[in-house]
Amino acid sequence: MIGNLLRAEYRKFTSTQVWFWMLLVCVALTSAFTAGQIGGTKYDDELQSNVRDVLLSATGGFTYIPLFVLGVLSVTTEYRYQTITPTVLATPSRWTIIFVKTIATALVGIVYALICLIVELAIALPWLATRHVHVDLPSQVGTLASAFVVLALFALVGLGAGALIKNQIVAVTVGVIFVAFLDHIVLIIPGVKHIYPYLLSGATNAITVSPHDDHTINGVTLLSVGGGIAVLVVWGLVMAVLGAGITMNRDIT
Amino acid sequence: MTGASDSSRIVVNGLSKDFGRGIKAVDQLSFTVEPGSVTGFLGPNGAGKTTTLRMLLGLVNPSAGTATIGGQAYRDITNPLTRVGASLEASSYHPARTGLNHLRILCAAAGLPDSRADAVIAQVGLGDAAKRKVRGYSLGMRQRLGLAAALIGDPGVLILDEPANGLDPDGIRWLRGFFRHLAAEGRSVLVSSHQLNEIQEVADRVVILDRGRLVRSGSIDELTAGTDVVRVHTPTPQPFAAALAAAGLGVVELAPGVLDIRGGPVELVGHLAFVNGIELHQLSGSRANLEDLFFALTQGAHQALPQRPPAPQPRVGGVQ
Ligand SMILES: Nc1ncnc2c1ncn2[C@@H]1O[C@H](COP(=O)(O)OP(=O)(O)OP(=O)(O)O)[C@@H](O)[C@H]1O
Ligand SMILES: [Mg+2]
Repeated sequence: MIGNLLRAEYRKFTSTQVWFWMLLVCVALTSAFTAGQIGGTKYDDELQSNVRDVLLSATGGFTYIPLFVLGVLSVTTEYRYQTITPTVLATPSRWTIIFVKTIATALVGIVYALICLIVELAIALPWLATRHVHVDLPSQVGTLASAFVVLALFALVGLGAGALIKNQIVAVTVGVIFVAFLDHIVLIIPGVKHIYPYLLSGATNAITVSPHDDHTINGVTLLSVGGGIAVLVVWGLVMAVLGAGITMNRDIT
Repeated sequence: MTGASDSSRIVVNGLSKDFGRGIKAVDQLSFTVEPGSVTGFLGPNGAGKTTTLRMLLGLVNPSAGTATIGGQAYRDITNPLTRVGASLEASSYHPARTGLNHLRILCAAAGLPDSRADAVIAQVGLGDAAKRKVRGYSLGMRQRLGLAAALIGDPGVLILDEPANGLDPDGIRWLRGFFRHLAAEGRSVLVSSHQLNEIQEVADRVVILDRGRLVRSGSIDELTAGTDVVRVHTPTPQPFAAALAAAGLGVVELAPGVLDIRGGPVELVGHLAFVNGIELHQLSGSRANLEDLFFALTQGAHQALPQRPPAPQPRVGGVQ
């Protein structure tokens, strides 16, 4: 049964053009930030020491936003166009609906994140070669994996936000405001700043920070990579569960 | 399809919905829809029809009471699209999706082959528009797509909320034939409507609702029985009036030689004339139609509407 429902989700996803435009945005953002990283670095030897940052271009910019939006849309489109009615008629259990959407969104996140990484490497590797920068890919697998995990998980976080908030404009705005501003403001408030590692940007930083760099920001120590991944997963799942249990169980009129 | 068996009986029992702020959209409603029949679900705007159907389908949580289909709450039915088909308001579509893709999503969810989508979209006459985006569909086309969606799992029970909305006269005629066809196949159809005369032609039974409460339910014959008015023209009204009164019928002399008789069908009046040797110049019977009955039963809710003159329709033609 779950297989059938996943097939239905796949058809919802591919039967409008949103998937294509979001993919285009992902590719454009990744390309722009990769090009910016390489083009914006003047000296080749400086670039050599920044290889890690170049390979994190896919997450360094705002590519997490389209991934987040895809997750949000998975739920909110259903409310916006009232397709939630046929969806619930086919699958009366809101838990099953959210469970299937979680898996579907995770799969979408994985595919899009992989595409972003391929685009990044397709731009970075030849370009770096012309700049005489040597990239030892095997030693950068961890870096690439970090970028991949962050992108894929933001789709899941988006799903949670969508399930909880249901209104797509509000869900996207709230999500972006938190990740881009509020999380960072927390970092400068003395007593409150210690929750930073458990917020979305704190967790993202924990995943992408170089193992050789300082893991302390403004006196706050980041979590381990595994801890950061766990925090993003928990944010996504907790919001999705709350959404299924509270918001989505409301009357559909 | 499960056919006319108990698995398609709809039982609504003590169903209530309070939307807060004291709005009792549905109030202690109970009725049963027998398998293999077309049941009209009638009531003025705001009577609670849509709310009741949505509670029956597990979309709205009742404040009290239960609604079951074949003894099960909708939420507990496994693969419900194959047991119950529903068409609610005609706006539950993604505008950028084609009609066919909308149906194919349902096929996937219910584990049905895609050929079902092709079959039902052709069945409702949307074959030519199947690959067009719903954005470009007219209201009537959306209604048809909703009916196609309801039919996708070949269900034994159909629950339709105002399916005639937005249909042109051709579409309404088509819908009427469609209901007959569905009932002939042994399906149970519960259809809410404002198109009272359409309902009268196709429904076996009606459930009439007003301000959330049940007003009346039963077959149309049962409901309109007793509303017969028989008019006779006779040169000898006095002896006939006496004979009719003796038989327990109510008689009013409208004009010299013209009587209106209530309380019995036209056949009875004709028979009494015959056995009493009364000469008749005209004998005609009429019975309130569903619309009259509906207006009579739900009057309060219709004060905003222009007053409708009573228009009994002849049931038996004039006899000279
Ligand atoms: N989500 C809601 N919140 C508050 N009140 C509601 C809600 N949905 C319906 N109502 C109220 O419940 C009552 C019944 O509405 P409902 O839509 O069930 O009527 P209806 O019989 O389907 O009417 P119509 O013929 O106009 O479609 C109305 O008074 C309506 O205002
Ligand atoms: Mg309604």
